[in-house]
Amino acid sequence: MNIRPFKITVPQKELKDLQDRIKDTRWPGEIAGEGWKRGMPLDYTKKLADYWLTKFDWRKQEAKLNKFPQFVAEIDGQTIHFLHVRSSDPNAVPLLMCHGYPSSFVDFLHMIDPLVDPAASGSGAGRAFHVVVPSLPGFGFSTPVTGKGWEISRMAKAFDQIMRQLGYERYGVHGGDIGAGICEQLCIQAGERIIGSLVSTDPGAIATEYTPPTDHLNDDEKKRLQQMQAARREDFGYIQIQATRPQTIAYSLTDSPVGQMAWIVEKFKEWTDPARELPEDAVDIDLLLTNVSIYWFGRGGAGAAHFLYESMHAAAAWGQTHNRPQGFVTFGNEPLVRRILDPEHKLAYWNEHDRGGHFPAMEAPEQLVGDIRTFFQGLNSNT
Amino acid sequence: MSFTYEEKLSSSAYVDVVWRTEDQTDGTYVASADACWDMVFIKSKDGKSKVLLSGPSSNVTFVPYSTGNKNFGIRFKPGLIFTNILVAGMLNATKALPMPTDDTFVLQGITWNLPTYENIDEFLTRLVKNGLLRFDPVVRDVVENKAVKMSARSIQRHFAMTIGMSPRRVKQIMSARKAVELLLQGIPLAEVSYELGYADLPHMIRMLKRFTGYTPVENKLRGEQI
Repeated sequence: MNIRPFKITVPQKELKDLQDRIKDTRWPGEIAGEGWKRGMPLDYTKKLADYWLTKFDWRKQEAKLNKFPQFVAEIDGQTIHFLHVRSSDPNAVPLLMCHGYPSSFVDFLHMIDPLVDPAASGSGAGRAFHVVVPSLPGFGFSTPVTGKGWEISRMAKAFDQIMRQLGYERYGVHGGDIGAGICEQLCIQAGERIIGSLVSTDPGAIATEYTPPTDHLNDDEKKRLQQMQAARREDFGYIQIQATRPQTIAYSLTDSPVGQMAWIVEKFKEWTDPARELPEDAVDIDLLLTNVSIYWFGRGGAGAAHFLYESMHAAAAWGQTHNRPQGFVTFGNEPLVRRILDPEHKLAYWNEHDRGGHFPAMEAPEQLVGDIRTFFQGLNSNT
Repeated sequence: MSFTYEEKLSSSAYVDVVWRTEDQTDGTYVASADACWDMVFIKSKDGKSKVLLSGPSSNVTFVPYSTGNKNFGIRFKPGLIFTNILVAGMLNATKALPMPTDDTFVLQGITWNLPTYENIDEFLTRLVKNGLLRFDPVVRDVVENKAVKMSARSIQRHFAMTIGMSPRRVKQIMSARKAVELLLQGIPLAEVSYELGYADLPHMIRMLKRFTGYTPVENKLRGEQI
């Protein structure tokens, strides 16, 4: 495997092109008084586009990202970008963190320093970590996807190869959303070499088409779950489109920055802490737009759509189990989450936070760092 | 061969196959382990009827047969749930259903007229109309190798509630059954072993012996569908 150092350097021409396109946006009209009901409202979209154009400073964000050592590896003909920060603590635990949709490796920016160097980050003493954060193939700078079949089990295999190449014989894994699926695949594929898996989740996880078994719930709980599912019924159109006709939606997402922005930010509105009015109240606006910009520059809209297509057309890897220690941390106050995901309280670790949502690494990074430290503290990381 | 066998497809989405046999001698049939539910309707030569409900089986079971019996049955698809019957009490179990009269039986609290091989689909349609059959969509999709966005742990729990066995065990059973099917088509042992992902030939022999009661060669010689 060939691993090369990598720096993000978006050409000036592309930056100018992005700005021109935002300026030249051909705006749709809007049916008045509908708020977010039919999607991202016009006034908010215009406001956010204006911020992106006039106040958001890509070069500043780019420089921030480039403070972290980054690399690209070639695996199976696919370029895989990752960030790798080694701790100076000789007892540090190697940790692979995988992002989900619609986010990217920038999710974890505010967690890296406290994880790598707990003392210097002012968060007190604690276990230190060597941190590896890949861009999933199709996302971030692991683009474009060059062939078929990049679903989670293949991604897991590639990430495991990277970890071994970096000299990490045993390591911990963390992720949410798609990242949680990759963590599970790693536990299955890499077995004993995975120290443990800490997954973040939110109430949305139990309101999808495939909810874990619910026969043990009482009538009140069943009713509550039905209400939750009804409330989210219209959240999933994005999956249907991307999982069936990724190529068609790719033209719009690759050609219109405002289109790509709205496609992503709508989900931040729906999936972040419901107590926060706007996406930018839940997630720092510059971080949010850095994520959107990375989708734009890397043509990640197309990559993410193809990823969902692969996921929905991949065979279920069934009959496979693992015995690795698993922990869950849920963001958003909802007792049904544990009742459904861990009814017998058998998981190695469970924690709940009132605030936060689907993007805890950006919404509540301090809490998540705390959970990672506590979870891995209790596990044997000897090689 | 000690009994005749024929089968047909059903119009019901819940059914894998409808079959009938006529026993030519007395004997014991070695039934392979199976992830599916079955219903069996037996008419003995003295005209007496019996209705059996059989849950999934994790091991080989021995089924006696007697000269002159005419039998037909339904093999349901994996993932099927009888709405009011818990799999827990039915794993590796076969139960005779109560029969208030000679030609009626009780299933899930309703009294039914005995169906025939010919009109069995009507009986199945009525079961569905009464809400007495449904699928666990997770188990159904998983065994059909469709993508299911769910953790292995949750999938395990669906299997435990619907089939009463782990996905791993169900996969082993389905592979063993598939292996026999391929062997009977004349495909060489080594090829079948490779195709179905067995570690090596001894592994396949062990698994077939365990789940079908016969080694691969015995299965070939026996020449019976399972």
